[in-house]
Amino acid sequence: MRCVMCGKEFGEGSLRDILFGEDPLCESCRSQWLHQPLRYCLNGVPGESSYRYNEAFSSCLIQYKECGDEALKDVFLFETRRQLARRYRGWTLCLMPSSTRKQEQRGFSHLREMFAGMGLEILEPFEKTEDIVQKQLSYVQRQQMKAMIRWKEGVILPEKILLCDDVITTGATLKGALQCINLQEHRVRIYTVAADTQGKRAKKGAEWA
Amino acid sequence: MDFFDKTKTTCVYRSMKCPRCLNEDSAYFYHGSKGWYCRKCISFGRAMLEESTAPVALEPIAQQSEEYTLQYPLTRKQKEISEACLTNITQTDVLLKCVCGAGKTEMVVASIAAFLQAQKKVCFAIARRQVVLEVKERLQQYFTHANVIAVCQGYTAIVDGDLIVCTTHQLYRYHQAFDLLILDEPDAFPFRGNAILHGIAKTSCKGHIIYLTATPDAALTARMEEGTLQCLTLNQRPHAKPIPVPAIFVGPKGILLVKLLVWLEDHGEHPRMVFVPTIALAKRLHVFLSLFESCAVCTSKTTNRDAVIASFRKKRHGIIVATTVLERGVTIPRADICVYQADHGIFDEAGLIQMAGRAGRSFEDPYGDVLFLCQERSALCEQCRRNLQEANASCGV
Repeated sequence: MRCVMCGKEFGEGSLRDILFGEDPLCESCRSQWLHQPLRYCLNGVPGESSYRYNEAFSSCLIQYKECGDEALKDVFLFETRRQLARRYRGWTLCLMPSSTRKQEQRGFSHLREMFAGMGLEILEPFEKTEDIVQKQLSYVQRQQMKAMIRWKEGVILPEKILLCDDVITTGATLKGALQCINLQEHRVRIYTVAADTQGKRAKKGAEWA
Repeated sequence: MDFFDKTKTTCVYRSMKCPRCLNEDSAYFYHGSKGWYCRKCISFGRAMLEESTAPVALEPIAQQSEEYTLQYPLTRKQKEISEACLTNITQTDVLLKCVCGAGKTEMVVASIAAFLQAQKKVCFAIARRQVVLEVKERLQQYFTHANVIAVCQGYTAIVDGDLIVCTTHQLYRYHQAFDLLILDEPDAFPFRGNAILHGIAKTSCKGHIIYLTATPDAALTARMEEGTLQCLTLNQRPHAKPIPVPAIFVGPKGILLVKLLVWLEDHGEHPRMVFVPTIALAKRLHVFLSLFESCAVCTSKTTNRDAVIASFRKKRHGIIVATTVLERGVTIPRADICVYQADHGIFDEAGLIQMAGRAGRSFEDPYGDVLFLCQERSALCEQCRRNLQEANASCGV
């Protein structure tokens, strides 16, 4: 078996790779990820993230999302999925929507593939009203995004909802999703794999941090 | 279609091949929701194996694009090579093995013009971005009627023109698009030894390839012996003056610094380039030399590299401290070269020859001075010196 990022054969590098070789990433690639759990509050809803959004994480996520490399789907939650599955037993994962054009290009739902390994029920109850790719947008533009997320009619939300996304930057997408949910009727938590606490946009909008 | 086993997630067939990077290693193929794809060249976007990739169609070439004027007429020897290249390229790949500063770019201009006239697409691919911009300017001067475009990081808005100059990384945009591909310095980082880039270069070209280098690597030498590559050699610069042969000085670190200062002082009337092995050392040496004279620094971490080099070019006697980013393709007239810690493991023979080749490239001042400062005697430095001496001897100068 080889590391999915650097292509190095396992067992060449370290004792950890030989003994605990199920991780699709080798030790040297994994050690570049910054595993720093962070708890935050977004519009009064508690949330948490496992990693910091650094260069190694970003390049992995870009390869997965933009280049469409499905082989990376288990990399993101490999270390935390068992713990998360225990903590959120009985909760339903609600994934954030991505732009329809991107989704078609990719040919798979990147969040669904990513969170499938947790073994919890998954729903995609939201959709984007306009086909907008967030990547290039500034902080202010992103805040207007809130209005562009709506609840798909007909999808019944369960009582305990865990909103899931890959990265929280300004929190605009998640805020948009929160607006669609009646917070009195449901118990809502947020989980993002990474939190961008360093970036330009994040600094400006770090009200969630 | 039943060639592929859809139930398995790892490929078991040996005959699978990535249409873009020509990878055949089955461990790099992955079966996703849209089918098999190659993971080796995934950073260039997903290349599906089952879908046939259509050749990229480029715009037709404008009339009169092939007309060119060189700044200097070619010398007799250059002309011979240029014509030999033109006659051979229609049948086979060609290697122009010419010393640094022999005018490799000028010698392929005739071939480029012939292809442009026949309405065939030509690409000039270079490993380094810096050199792409420089070569683009030069080719635009020669081909005044053609629309010459540079495609590299920061210049990707327009990707089609009469003549395309691009980095080897950008070749992924042009699947089976070119009738003639000119690969400048195929032994330069990052192209050297990179199987993905080699594969992409091969699939971007449906005709033949011209390789331009002073220091062909083992793969090219092997192809030469095999007979699939026609090698044309020129060991003389157009001004017919010998190539500067490096002086080698061995001494402890402190002495080397003193020697460097004395050398810089002695060559004060010329622009001086000091090559160092590492970025950290480049920074330290820059600070140290700034105590004596204003100087610039250029490494791969320098953000405004273009501006730094432009301002260095303007000065008549500046100093620049550089890592191997500037070892190739950069022409600074009248420059003198010093390689500090030339015995460092990071330098290879090709690199040393290239750095020495930065000196004495202009007609006004064909003599340059090259100095290698080493802490220990190094076989590579001596090999480099011997090579240059042999090249000089072979053309009787």
